[in-house]
Amino acid sequence: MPEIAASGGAPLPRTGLWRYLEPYYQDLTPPCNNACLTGEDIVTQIRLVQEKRFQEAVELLMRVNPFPAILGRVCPHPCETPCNRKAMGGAVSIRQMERFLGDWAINQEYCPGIPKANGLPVAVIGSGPAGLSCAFYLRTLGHPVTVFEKENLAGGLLRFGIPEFRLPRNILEAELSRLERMGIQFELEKEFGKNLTLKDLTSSGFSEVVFAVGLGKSRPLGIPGENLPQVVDGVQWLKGLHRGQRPSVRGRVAVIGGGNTAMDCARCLLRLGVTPIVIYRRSKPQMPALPEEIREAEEEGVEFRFLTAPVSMDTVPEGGLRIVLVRMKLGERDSSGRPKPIPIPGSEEELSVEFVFKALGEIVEEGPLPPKNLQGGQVIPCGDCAGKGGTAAQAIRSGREAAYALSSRIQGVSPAPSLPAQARGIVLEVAKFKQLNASYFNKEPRPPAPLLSPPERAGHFRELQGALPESDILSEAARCFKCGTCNLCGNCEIFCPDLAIRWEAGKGRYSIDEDFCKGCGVCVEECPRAAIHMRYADAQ
Amino acid sequence: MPNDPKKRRSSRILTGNQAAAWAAYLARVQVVSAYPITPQTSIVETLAELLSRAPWPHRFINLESEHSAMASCIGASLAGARVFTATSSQGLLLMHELLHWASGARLPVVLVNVNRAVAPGWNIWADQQDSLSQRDTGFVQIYCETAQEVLDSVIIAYRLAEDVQLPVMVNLDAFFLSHTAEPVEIPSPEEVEGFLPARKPVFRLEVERPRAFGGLIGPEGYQRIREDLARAMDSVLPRMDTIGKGWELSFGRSYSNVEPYRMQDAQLALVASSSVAANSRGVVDDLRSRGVAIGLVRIRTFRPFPKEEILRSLRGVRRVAILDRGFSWGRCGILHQEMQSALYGLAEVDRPKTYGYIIGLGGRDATPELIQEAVQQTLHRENPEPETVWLNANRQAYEPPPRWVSTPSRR
Repeated sequence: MPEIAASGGAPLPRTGLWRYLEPYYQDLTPPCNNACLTGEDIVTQIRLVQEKRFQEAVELLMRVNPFPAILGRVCPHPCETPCNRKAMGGAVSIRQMERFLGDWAINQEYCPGIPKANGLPVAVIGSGPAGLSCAFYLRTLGHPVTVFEKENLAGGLLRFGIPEFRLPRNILEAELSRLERMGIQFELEKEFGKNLTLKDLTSSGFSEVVFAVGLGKSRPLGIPGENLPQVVDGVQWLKGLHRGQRPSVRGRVAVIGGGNTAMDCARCLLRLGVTPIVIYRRSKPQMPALPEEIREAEEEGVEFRFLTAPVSMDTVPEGGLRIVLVRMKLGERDSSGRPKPIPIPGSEEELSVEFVFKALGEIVEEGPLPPKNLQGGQVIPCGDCAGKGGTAAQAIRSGREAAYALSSRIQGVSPAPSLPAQARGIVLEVAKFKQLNASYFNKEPRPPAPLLSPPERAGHFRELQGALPESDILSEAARCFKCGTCNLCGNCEIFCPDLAIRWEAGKGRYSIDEDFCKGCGVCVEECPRAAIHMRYADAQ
Repeated sequence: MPNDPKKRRSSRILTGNQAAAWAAYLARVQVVSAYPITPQTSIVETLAELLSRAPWPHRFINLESEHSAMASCIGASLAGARVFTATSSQGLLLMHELLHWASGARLPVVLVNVNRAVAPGWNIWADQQDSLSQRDTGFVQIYCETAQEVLDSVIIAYRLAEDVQLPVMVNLDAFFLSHTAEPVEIPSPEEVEGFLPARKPVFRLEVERPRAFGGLIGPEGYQRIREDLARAMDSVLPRMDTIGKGWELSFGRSYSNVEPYRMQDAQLALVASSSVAANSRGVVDDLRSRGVAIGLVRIRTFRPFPKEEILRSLRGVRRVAILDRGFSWGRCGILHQEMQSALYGLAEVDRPKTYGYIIGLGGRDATPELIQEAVQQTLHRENPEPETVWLNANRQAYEPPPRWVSTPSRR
C-alpha cells in the first residue's frame, strides 16, 4: 500500500454549503406553444406522439381544439414560424402533426368523455367554427346544447367559405358527426331575427344564448357601377359554389381585394376555367390573405395587379365591363398599421373584363345581436361577430373561451385549471434557440409534405396538400427540441459531479439534493433544452 | 485453434501508433479517455476499432481537452479500472498539472506520448521537448525505437505501473515511428493475460465507504508521501529488469533500461535515445569498420535515470557525445545535463568529457552524416567548448517574402 493522502471514511463532505448559486427546474414556454392561436400545449402533444400515445395526444389536443383535422389543414400555423428547429434543418411540421392526430381521431371514431347533462341548456346561434367550438366545450362541461343555423347545412365559414381543395368536405362532415355523437342538437334553417326569436328560445327552455353569427355582410366597393348585374358578391358566390352550384362565369374576371375571400374566389375561378385578375390597392406584403394562399395562388397562375384600385365600372355594348383603374402609391401608416394607399392623379387606365368580383371581405351585419340576454345579463358573443375571429383557429379559441366563461358563470365553478397553461393565457419566458445546447442535436431536414404540383391542381377541387406518413410524423416528433421542457432525458443526473441530482420514481421527476449541490451549473449548461436555470441561492 | 497459446501469435505490418493501440487492447484496458492531436490520433482511432469487439466492459470518454482526459483517467484509475490515454506535444503540456496528480495519487495510469515539437512555431514533427519537459512529474518515462518495442513496452508498462503504483509514459517519435509501418509480432491474448493479470487495486474509490482522496494534508504527512514516491521511483529500475527478464522468457525479446551497443573497448561513446539511437547504430558500425573505438549507449528508461547502468557501460570511455532532441533553455541539452550529473560522482581521472549536440529538432532528419559530424567534432576538440553545438543549424540570411518587395506601379 503506497502512502497517499486519503481521508479515513469520513462522512461525505456537504459540498452544498459552498453554494451561492443554485440550479432549479423550471419549464419555459416553448415558442410554438406561445404562438399557437388556440393555445395548444404543442410540445406535450409532440412528446405523446413520439411515444405513440396518440389517444392521450388527441385528448390533450381536444381540450383546446375540437377540430384538429380541420385546423391541421387550414390553420396558418404561426407555431412553425418561431420554431427553434428552423436553424437546424427547418421548423418541425407541427400542422401536419395536428392533421395526423385529427385524422387518427376520425379513423378511430374518437369521442371525448361527456358528463351527464346538467339541466342548464344553452342555445348557440351560428354553426361556424366559433359556434361549433363553443357547443363542443359547453357539452363537455355538462350542458345540453342546441346549435341554430340559418343555412340548411351546418359548418358556417368552414363549409361556405373555405374551398374544398383546402378542406375536403368529408373531413368537415366527420368532425361534425363527432358533435352529433356527443349529443349536440342541430336546428337548421333557423335564422335569428327572422324565424327564431328570443321568445322562441325562452319558451323552448333555454336559459342562456351564445351568439356566433359571424359577419355576414360584404364590404361594399363604394364606386359607380357597383350594382351592375356583372358585379358579383364574392362571398355569396363562394357560398353558392360550395352548395354545389356551378355558376356561369367565363372569360376574364377581375377580383377586387387582397384577403382570403379574394384568394379563394380567384383560385376557384381558375379551377372553373376562368382567368382571374386580382386587383389590390396596396402591395403584396400588406395583403391580409394567408401567405400560403397567396403563394399557392401565384403558383397556380393567378395574375396580380398590385397598387391598383377601381374608380368606376360601366358596361360596354359587346356585353362585358370596362373598369377604370387608378395606380396607387403607399403613404403614411393608417389606423390598421399598414401604409395608406394614395391614388396617383392622372394614372388612370382601363381594363376590359367579363365580370367583376367584389371580395373585400365582410363586415358585421347590423341588428342581429340583442342588447340583453334572457336573464337580463350580457349577451355572450364569440367569433367574428365579437371581433375575435379572423382565422378559424382564433374563432375556435373564442368559442371555447365563451363556453368556459358562460359555464363558470352559471355553474359557479371555474373549470379552467384543467386547461394547459397556454390556453389560460399563462406565458412564461419563451425559450430561445441560444438557451438550448445545440451540441445535443443534429441538423436534420424537415420532410417535404406531399403537395399537388400546379398543373395537377387544374380543373378539380380535390385536396392540394397530402398527409405526411406516420413514419415521418414520428421522426418529426423526435426532431422537435422540446424547447424549455423537461422530457426527463436525464442529462443533468449524468453530468452532476456531486451526484446531487436524483430520480424520484414516486414523483416522476428529478430533484436536486441541496446538501451536495455546490452550484457549479454543469447541469444548466448540459441541459439540452433549457429546463434548468440558475439563481442566487437566497433568491428563492 | 492450436492449444499452445504461443502458436496463436500473429504477425502484422503495424505503425508505431497501431502497435500502441494493439498493446492497450491486449492489456484489456477498461477506460480510454483522450483528446485528438496529431500525430497521436490514430492510436485512439485504432484502439476504438479494436475495443468495439472487446467482450469485457469498457468505456471511451471523449473530452474537451487533454487536461480533462487525464483527469478522467485519474478518476477511473482511482475507481479501480485499467486506464489508457495517449497524447502529444501541446496536449501533454496541457496535462502537466494532472501528471503530478496521477503520480502523487499513486495511480498506475499508462500514457503513450508521441514525441512532437512544442509551439511556436507550429510544428507537428518529431522532437522530445514535450516529454523531457515533464521530467519532474513523477511519471516513469520509456523511449522506444521500433513499433515492436512500442507494443511490448506498453504491456510491460501496465505490469510495472501496477507493481510499483506509479504512472508510466511510453514515448515514440512522431512519424519516424508513429506513422512508419514494420512487421510486428502480436502475442496471443492468453499469453498477455498470463503476463499481465487483471488489475488488483490496493486502494480505490468505494461507493459504500466514501473517502476523500488527495485532500488537504499537513507538512509532515506531505513530506512522508513524497518520500514514499521517491522510494517507489527508486524501485523501478530493478523491477523493470525483473519484468524485462520475464518478458524475454515468454516472448524472446529483451529490454533493459540502458542498451549499450559495441561498447567493448570503446574510447568514445554516443549517447542517444529513440530513432536517433537507431541511426547512431549505423554510424557506429561504419566507424568501427574504419577502426574508430566507438560505441553507443541508448537510453531507454529516462525516468528514473539509470545512472548506475550508464556508468557501467561507460567504463573506460574518454569522451561522450550526447545527441539531444530537447533543450533546457539557459543550460544545455536535457540528456546532456542528465549525463553530466550522472558522471559527476566519478573521480576526475575516470570521468569522461561530455560533448553536447542538438540534432533533429522539429522533425529535422538526424542523418548519419550529422551524427558523423558530431563524432568528428568530439574527436577533434580537446575540450568541449562550446559546451553545446547546434548541428547544421543552417541559418540563412533573412530574405523578405516576395510580396513585401515593392514593385513598380502598373501605371
